[in-house]
Amino acid sequence: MTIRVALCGNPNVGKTSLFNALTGMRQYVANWPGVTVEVKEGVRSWRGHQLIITDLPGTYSLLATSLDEKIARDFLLYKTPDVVVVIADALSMEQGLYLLLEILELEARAILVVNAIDEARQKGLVIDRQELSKHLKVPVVLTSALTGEGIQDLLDCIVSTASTEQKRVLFNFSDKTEKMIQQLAALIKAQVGEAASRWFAIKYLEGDPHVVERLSQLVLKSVAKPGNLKSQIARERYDHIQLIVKESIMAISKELSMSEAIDHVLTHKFIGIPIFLALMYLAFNFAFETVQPLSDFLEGTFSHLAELTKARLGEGMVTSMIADGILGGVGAVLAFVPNIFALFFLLGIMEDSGYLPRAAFVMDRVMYSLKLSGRSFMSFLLGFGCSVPAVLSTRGIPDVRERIVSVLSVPFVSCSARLPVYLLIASIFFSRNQGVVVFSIYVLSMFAAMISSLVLNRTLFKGQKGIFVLELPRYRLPSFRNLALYTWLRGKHFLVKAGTIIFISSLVLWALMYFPDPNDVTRSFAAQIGKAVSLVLRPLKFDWRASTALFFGVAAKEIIVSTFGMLFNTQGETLTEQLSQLFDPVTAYSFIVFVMAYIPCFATLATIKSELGTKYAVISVIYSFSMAYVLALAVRMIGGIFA
Amino acid sequence: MKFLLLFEWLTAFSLFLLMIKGETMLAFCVLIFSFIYLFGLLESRKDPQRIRAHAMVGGIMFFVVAALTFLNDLARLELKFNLSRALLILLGVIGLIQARAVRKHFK
Ligand SMILES: Nc1nc2c(ncn2[C@@H]2O[C@H](COP(=O)(O)OP(=O)(O)O)[C@@H](O)[C@H]2O)c(=O)[nH]1
Ligand SMILES: [Mg+2]
Repeated sequence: MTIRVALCGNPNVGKTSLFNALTGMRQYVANWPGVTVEVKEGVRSWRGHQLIITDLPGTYSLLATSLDEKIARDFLLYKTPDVVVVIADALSMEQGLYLLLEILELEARAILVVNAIDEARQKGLVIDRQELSKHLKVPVVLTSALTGEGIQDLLDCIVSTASTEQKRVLFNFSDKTEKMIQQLAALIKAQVGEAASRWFAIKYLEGDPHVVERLSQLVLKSVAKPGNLKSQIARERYDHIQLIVKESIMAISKELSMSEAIDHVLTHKFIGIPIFLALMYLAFNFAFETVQPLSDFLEGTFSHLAELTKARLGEGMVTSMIADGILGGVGAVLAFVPNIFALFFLLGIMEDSGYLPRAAFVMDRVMYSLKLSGRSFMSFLLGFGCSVPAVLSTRGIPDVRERIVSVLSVPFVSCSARLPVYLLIASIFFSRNQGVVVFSIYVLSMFAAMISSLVLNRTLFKGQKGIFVLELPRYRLPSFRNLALYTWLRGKHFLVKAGTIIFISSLVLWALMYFPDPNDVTRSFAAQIGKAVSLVLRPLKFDWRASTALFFGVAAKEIIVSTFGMLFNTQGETLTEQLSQLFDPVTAYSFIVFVMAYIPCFATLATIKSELGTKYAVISVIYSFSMAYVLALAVRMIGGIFA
Repeated sequence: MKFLLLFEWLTAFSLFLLMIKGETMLAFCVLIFSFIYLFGLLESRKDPQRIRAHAMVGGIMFFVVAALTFLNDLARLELKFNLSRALLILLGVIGLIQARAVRKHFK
């Protein structure tokens, strides 16, 4: 028999971890609410049954207010899984039970899973599973996705629950509320059917936008306005939950917990933000300076290989293609692999330990005055890795206006693909202050994103302030396995890119530089494109070589580095020595500022297009290009004063 | 406890003054982390848990700075053994020990 199982629960309770434990798959888990924005499916056979398990995005309630909540709800409503597994966090069960109460109103076969039981035990909490099950009238399983405890029980429980009869567990509201619900239910029975009428009535009273719209033809206003009892219903459910929790959980102490203690300092009113900046600096310094010898070694190896090829094969087209095109272009990018992996490793530690949401929380005070919530700051922080997941993560932002503003601003945050460009330029022109220069670009990029949000908000949207509802996860010592997986998955993406997009475009670029005259690169096709582009960029003093690099870099930012690698790949001198003639320090800095801000790469544009439509992708191109231009000009002018 | 915090804060602050010339950014990190101890001193005496929280987090932070700086020196093959490095390592080691000792007090 095939059993369709849906996993749902609040963000960050361990749904994906359980999903992995149940299916044996390896989805990345993050100690960070809002990671699962898409629906993932896996299969597991158990005692002769085939379980098709779906991992839904985290949701706090079935009142679909943000996109990922809507995805989860629509799945439950329209795909009607055979068994719904509601996962709650053992250390904060209330939110999870709230969701369970809502799901029970849907006439579903539900199982309550209390996850992270290992942590609860460590804290001296005892959870009485029979008691919980008695009050909620659903089977309860205690699990730990970390130790694997309870996973087999859960599988057995799914199989046995699937063959039970479907039943609806009614939660009885207070008399007054019940009366209202029944009155409404009677009115809408004709339209939605007897069975669903109660659910529709409750959702109508809670003000669910989709239900209200669906019932809009009926004249219900005389009984109650939509959303009339929203807070009343929520309060009654919470009161009920509080009672259950009191009966079934026994805690021991009231001391400050570890997480509270750490939070007391890290989210401190005065030093919270400085600590965040200091930690960021240390992390970047590690990725740029400490690992640099490895990168230098790789760079040396690649140019050595190129010379060796030339010596072995003699001059000619094939030699040039291998030495200049592949080794010069792809090698220039691959040299930065150690930096990228180090950066991801440290970001991984911050993410997995639970620190990043705190950073967003601390910054929320600043963001609030920009009329944005800390939620968009989280997307910005994700953007340090790659803009694509950062854009996707804005799905968790309930307010459409704020979401658009965030999507347009996220690409300013420096993703890892831009890092090779900064490192290359900084090591040549600012060798003594390399770490500081690169860090300054990162800080600037953060500022650019925030200022962009501010400007867009003020001018285009004139919105109101968003409210921050992010829940802070507990601190955890990052597990090495999870960290390694994280670093590898993200870093692999970079390697794959080097082997595909960058490899191919290096070959294309090489051809454009080699023809029509192999001996004179200034007459090549690439140079002609570059010269045309440089007309536009002339006020910034970027010559045709820089312009060529920028032009091809729109596809993927690393290509800027491969272009330089090829343009300056003549024998004898290293790339570094030759590049130093290209810019003066002010132009060099304005060049990296331009790279930081200008047009998002193809992958990001495609994501923006699929999330918000072509219109916003086009807007994003124009907007970021103008912003880059303005910023680079500003650097020129400020630099001109000092130089 | 407060006595230890005061000692650590004074040490960290002198370290900041020592390093500000040569390694400005690192010096500012040390300064910021030293404020963790300073604000711990300002907590009320009746609330020992709060003071311990500052001691623990400050200790971890100094351990992190010391470890990263050591790694960085190592990578450049120039191990420095001057006064500021000695102080930094001292703060890092004390920090680690005190963080481990204090953490028992939290649930
Ligand atoms: N100690 C412990 N940690 C867990 C458990 N389940 C999940 N986690 C951690 O909780 C965090 C969030 O997990 P994730 O599966 O991404 O949650 P989701 O957002 O609900 O999908 C990760 O850091 C996991 O390693 C558990 O049973 N015990
Ligand atoms: Mg997940």
